[in-house]
Amino acid sequence: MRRVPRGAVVTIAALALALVLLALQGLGPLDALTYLVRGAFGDAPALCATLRKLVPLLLCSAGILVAFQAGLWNIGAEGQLLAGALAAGAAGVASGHWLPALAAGALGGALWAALPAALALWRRVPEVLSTLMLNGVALELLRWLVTGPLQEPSHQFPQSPQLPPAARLPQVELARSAALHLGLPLALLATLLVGWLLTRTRFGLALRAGAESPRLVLALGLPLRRWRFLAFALAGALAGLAGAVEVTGVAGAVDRSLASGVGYAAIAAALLARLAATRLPLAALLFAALAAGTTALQLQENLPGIDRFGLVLQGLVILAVLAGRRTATVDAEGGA
Amino acid sequence: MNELAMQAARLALPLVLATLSEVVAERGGVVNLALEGMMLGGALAAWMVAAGGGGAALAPALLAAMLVALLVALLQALFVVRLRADAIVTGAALHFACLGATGLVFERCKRSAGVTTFGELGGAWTHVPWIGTLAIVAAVLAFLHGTRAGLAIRAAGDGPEALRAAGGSPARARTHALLLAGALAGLAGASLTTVLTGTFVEGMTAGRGFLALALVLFARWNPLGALLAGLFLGGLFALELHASTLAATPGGAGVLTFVLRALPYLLCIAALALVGGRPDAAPRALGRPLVDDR
Amino acid sequence: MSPPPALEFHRIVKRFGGRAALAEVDLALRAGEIHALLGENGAGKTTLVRCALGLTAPDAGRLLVDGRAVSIPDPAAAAALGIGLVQQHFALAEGLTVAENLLLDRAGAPRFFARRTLAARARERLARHGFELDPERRVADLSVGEKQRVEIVKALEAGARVLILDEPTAVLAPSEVGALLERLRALARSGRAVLLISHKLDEVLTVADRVTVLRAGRVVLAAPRAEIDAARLTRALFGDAPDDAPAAPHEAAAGPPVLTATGLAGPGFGPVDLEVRKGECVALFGVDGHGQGELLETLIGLRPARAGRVDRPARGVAFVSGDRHGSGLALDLPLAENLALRRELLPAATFGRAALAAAATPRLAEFAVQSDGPWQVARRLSGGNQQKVVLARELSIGPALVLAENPTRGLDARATAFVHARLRSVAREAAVLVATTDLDEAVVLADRLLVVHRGRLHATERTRAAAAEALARAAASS
Repeated sequence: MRRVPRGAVVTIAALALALVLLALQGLGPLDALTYLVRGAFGDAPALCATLRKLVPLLLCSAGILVAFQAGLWNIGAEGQLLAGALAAGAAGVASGHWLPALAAGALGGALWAALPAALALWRRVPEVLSTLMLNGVALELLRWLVTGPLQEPSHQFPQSPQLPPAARLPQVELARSAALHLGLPLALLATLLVGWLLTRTRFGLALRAGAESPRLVLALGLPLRRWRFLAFALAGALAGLAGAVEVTGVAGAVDRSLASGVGYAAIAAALLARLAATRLPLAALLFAALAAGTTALQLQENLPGIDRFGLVLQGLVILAVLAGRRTATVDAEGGA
Repeated sequence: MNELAMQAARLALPLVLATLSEVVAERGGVVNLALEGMMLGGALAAWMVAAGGGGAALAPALLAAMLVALLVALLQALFVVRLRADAIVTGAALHFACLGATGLVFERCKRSAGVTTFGELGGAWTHVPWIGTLAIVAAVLAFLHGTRAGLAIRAAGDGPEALRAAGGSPARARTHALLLAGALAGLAGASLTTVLTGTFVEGMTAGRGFLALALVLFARWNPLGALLAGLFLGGLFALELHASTLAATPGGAGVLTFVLRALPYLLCIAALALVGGRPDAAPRALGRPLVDDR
Repeated sequence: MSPPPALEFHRIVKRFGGRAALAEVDLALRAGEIHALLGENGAGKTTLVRCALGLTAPDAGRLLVDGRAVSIPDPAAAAALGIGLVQQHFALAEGLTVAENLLLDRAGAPRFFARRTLAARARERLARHGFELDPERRVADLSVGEKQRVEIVKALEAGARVLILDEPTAVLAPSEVGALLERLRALARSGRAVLLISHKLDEVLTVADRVTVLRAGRVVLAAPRAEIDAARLTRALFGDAPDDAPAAPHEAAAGPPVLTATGLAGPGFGPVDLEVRKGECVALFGVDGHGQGELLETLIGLRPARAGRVDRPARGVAFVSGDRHGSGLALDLPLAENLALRRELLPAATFGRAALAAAATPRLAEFAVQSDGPWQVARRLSGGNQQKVVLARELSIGPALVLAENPTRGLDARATAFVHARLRSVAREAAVLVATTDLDEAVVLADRLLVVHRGRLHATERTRAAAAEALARAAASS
């Protein structure tokens, strides 16, 4: 009997539950599914919308992947994304070009992660708390800067000045109102890089071994603490890059809509992919499609609030993964 | 000045209750990341029951809030205590689910019930929330330190082996802790609706739950500490509201607001960094999943 | 006619897998007596005691309480029969007060209580057993000896008439030991039966009324105090063939020193002077907890020394750990990745799947690892094969120095023999230092044998008897 892949079971279970919830909203499951799928993949604009949502999600979850594999509970992607967005906005306006903006974004995110990393590795401060706190700080920072020092010249809107055209990410027009920007190949590249790093370099090997057996790695003479710091910073850099991409590729300016919870959704995606880089694009695509689909559903069927649905599904998916993991553990022990 | 103090007290209420909730949960050994979600659920439930019902609907509203939060807590207990899933991940999942679910339900109700507000009753009723909260703080203190169930909870979070060796069940004690924490979280959320604003806004907890996670450290896992920490933060929030009148320049108000709002988070990180890891007052088994001894 | 023993083990047998952990063990505990139970690690002491505590059921034989045969299915039954345990790792809630910890244990505890009444009752209870301790103090603030006293009171309060203490002095400071032994005498005098599990010959000789020695699950000595002395005990513990020859032929140690430690000191050990030469295998034998672990970590460089210095080669140092969970292997990674952790086996910083497998497969074959290939996850292997992987990783680098810590812990006879053969063969070209708590292993492997006691090293001859005597002497003089 062929073993059905666990991820598929989990997703289907969560989706089924989701459809039940939708039915309670007065929407027939078949209708709901149709709208969702069409909203996510139906035509070129829909597909582009999905892919646009995929980019920051994928970048953040790639970073989270590295951190989690190294045994570092980095839940600060949201804050690192915002820090990167702010840095990118400032750099974009100042330099007028998108490349320094992206670099600044990555740097901003890396720095935002560096503090909790240092605290965790050198002062044993639990990174769950410190990254969570910094998420809060980043949000307040965003709120302040876009209504203060970084506000656009007319001081009417809570956002940064619009980026000049040269500072916008290059895009490709597939069709009318269906454009893809440079962020997509960047995100895919980042995922490949992360996968390669974790499985094809001693750095990645040591990180993964060190998550469970740090004493072993240290006894082998590998600089585990330094490498874990780099991994954490890399996670922050990728999240910061996500913020930068959103600013230069989508919004064109820094505003409060950047704090949309992508950083948290990325955690769900990474967990759904069970921390494997090869499964990550698909997992992220699922959530991106859900986000795009529910937005379209909302507009189409005049079901206000249906996009909250994506959040509920995120939670359900993680719970399903957790519940499923328990039986997975039993399997593993049976072998030895 | 008096107005500032009163405002501080009002703003402090949900924080006190939320921190109290987390104190109970963490004394039992669980970090409750779903606190924010529970509060939201409680806020929504309270609003739904009380909307348009006048003063008489207050008590049922509070009950409804506790019930909803209890359900979430039950779910969390199932995953964290029974299935031994990671508490952080479970909490995050429940957070998403509650955030989304409350948004969904609110949108639906807004559709069918129309906009309603809930006015505060005047006179003596304005003091009830505070008297109630003080009574609850005292009750939790008495419960934790003066009853067998409270002792079991503290043992589950500090030395589950001792509890098990004595024939108790750390799993049961942890579940109790989570349920009580849930009820308190529901009340915290209800206070947002029934005391502070009189309406429900999506995501109205605005990070207060996460803040409470940090405040527990300042409270040193103590109900009285929760009271003080909550009051302190209420003061900060009240100051922030008055920032524009306090600051000399318009731009200055922005910075001050930012500093005041970011301060709790930064203070927490600073405290963690100074203490370096596990503070002495922390329950020793905090965050550790329970293991069978066989 | 004397009353029946408070607790008696009658021909107890217990098997784990194919191995007999207890083979027809008889032991009688009488009220008013302190009975000492001695034995090496793995001799069966813990297993025997677990039978009495309801944690394990014997495969054959009977347990008798006051002469009546009983079955003890769980700890609650043991407690009901009046059998209490004071274990090495205290089951106390550190953040709670003494009074609260005592309250935890009471089955009929009140639902509600006030702090002051609680403290008063606790003080009463403590006094009843002759203890003076402030019940309002947090357990975390107590000294180890005081915590142990709380544990004893807990057991007594639960109605224990048979009190079992597992290595109680292992955690105590030397100044506290005397007080404990006095306490035990008082307990015995009050009519209880005390079973003292211990390694320490001097304490046993001071306080025991009767002594039983277990070796490999069998009772090799059971006698009243009057009939024994240190020498007899040592012989019983470690084997009584004074002329047992060392197993391996002794090759003259050639070679320059590879590892040198001078005046080395750290937490739990020192000062230590040690030299290991190329071509020789030095074995450190000692009981757990006397600093070997810390010494080894300092020698490898995992932990800085407090004083003294270590000279070791910059490259080519192999660490063979018997702790496969934390220091030996990354259990969740496949074998190929485990091996690739060593730079020497795969010099590149980046590598493809093919390169990983190519580097791993020959090594796995060379060390006869039974697996489903280099991509099998390490956790799935048996203990013996896991240890072979550790050897494969460490010894394939052609080391100049090998440091091994309990390399055959938990392995069966065949796997043990394999590991020993490999270590001896690598010892021809390298310097090997093995720290172990298994005396047989130490004797088999050693070209030179050192005994570790309280962090100091003592040279001795390469026989069981000599090592045991050296240990006894060290214990007596400390």
